Amino acid sequence: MSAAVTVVDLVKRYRRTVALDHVGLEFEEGLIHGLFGHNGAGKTTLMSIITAQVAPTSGQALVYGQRPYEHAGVLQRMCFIREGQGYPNDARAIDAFNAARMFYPRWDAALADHLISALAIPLNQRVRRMSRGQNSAVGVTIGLAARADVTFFDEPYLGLDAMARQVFYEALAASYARDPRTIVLSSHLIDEVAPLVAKVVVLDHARVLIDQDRGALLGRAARVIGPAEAVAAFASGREVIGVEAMGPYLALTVMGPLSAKDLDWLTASALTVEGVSLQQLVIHLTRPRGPAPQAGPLAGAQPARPSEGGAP
Amino acid sequence: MTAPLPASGAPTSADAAALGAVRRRPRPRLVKVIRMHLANRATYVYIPLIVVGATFALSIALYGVLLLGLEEDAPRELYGLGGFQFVPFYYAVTVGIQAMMYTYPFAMAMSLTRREYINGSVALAALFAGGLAGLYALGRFAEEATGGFGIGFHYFGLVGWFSWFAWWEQWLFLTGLTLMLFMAGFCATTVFKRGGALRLVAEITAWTMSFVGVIALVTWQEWWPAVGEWFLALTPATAGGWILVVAGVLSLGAYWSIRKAVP
Repeated sequence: MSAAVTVVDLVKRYRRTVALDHVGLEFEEGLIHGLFGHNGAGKTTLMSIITAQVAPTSGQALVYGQRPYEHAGVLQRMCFIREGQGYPNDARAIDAFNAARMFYPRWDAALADHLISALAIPLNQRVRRMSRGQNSAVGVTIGLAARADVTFFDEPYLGLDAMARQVFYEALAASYARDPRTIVLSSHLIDEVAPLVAKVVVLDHARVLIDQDRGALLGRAARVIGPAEAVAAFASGREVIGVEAMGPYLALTVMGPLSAKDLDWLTASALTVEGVSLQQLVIHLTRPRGPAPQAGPLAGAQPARPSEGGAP
Repeated sequence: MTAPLPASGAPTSADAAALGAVRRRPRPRLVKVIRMHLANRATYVYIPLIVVGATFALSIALYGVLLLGLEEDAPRELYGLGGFQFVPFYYAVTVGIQAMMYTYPFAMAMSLTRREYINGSVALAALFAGGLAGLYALGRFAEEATGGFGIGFHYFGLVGWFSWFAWWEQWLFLTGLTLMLFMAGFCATTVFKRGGALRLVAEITAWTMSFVGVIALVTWQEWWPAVGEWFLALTPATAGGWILVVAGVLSLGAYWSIRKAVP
């Protein structure tokens, strides 16, 4: 699959702060990407450079093979709705939508009308007098209805209640199904957007930590549930990233793909295997590596060896 | 949806279409930028009209107070001079500041190039300036037709030097003045957006010192008589032309600053 956006050795420094440190990645054509990372990891800076709103210190970002800076032909194919998006001072919501409709010839009026109704956006209210959630609602409506070939959403959910977020996710999925395009969704609510994204990019301390298909990434871990002793035996020697104790039962999230032998053993032991939460996996992978944590619930457990019917 | 550029191999017809989609010169969006600005109707229409109306009303009220205190045979033409005619034009600085502050972030979200944004903003400034100067031209016609609104009051027609020349020369001068003041506010805001308050103050200080330097040079070389002759030879039209040159320089300065301004 070809790349809509190619980032090559991108560096951005703000005086003594390195916002992006030799970042290289691609956002593929026609996929929804999740862009995750801690606060200050460089997500907004990355999107700002790709959309030519901020200049890089070195390196380059190409959109459809072109540098986007002052390139009208490329810029017109992009839309970037950022957190706390600014609007013309006296603009009402209807003015913002009319302006967006002017600049995006593929504007989906039906989708815009649906979102305006579903999100209860007051059309004649000044955007600067709106609540944070209403402001976000205006932004996500513009971002989706514009149907730009490359759309960036930078934490678009801020202030949106759960119902409104669900409306946004459903509209995003439906619009994407009708009109596949490149979407980059930066969010801290990882589990909420996980079903939407095909590819996961995680920035950590200005560098790319993860750049992988969601399925392949989730395959790097598994959640094993069952009687505590058997689960603990299976997890022996493995990296455990999540623990949930439920009376006599235990659910452990362990790293590492499961081999066929592992699966056979789990089946024979009547243990249940589930997929892991993307959020939990990302949190674990981005957790600072410090001193070893204090002994947890597995401390002192004596797992059975394989010859004794224990874990492989 | 248009396909991206091919990574390698002979281009197909779909690739050619995609290539055209990126490389074909897109339609200028100058009118759309103007319409985007005009979402702030209060900034460009209502408030300037209020300022013109209020300053006119204040001036004529003050003139009326003066008339009450005059002797019957006192020469009224010495007092029938409005005092606040230029206030609406000074307001153009505020309009220029607001134009940049209030619409630049949205323009960047709409993926406009900075060139498109500047061109559209300058076009809007020209329309605003021409409109405001045109309002004064209409007011001048009304003044002349009614003998100063029946009470010998001169406001829109300005006075002295301006009244010696045709209405279109006054219009040209006021258009240039408004455009220059608009671009001064706009340009200062682009500097602020790029480098913050510190950079703005530093640049204003540098330009002021440069101006003082020019005055020092003129004084040292005893060029003041020549300078005075040059000013005396100016008409509203030629002065307006020179002011437009300054406005053009400020426009270039705004584009220079905005190249790296963050929304």
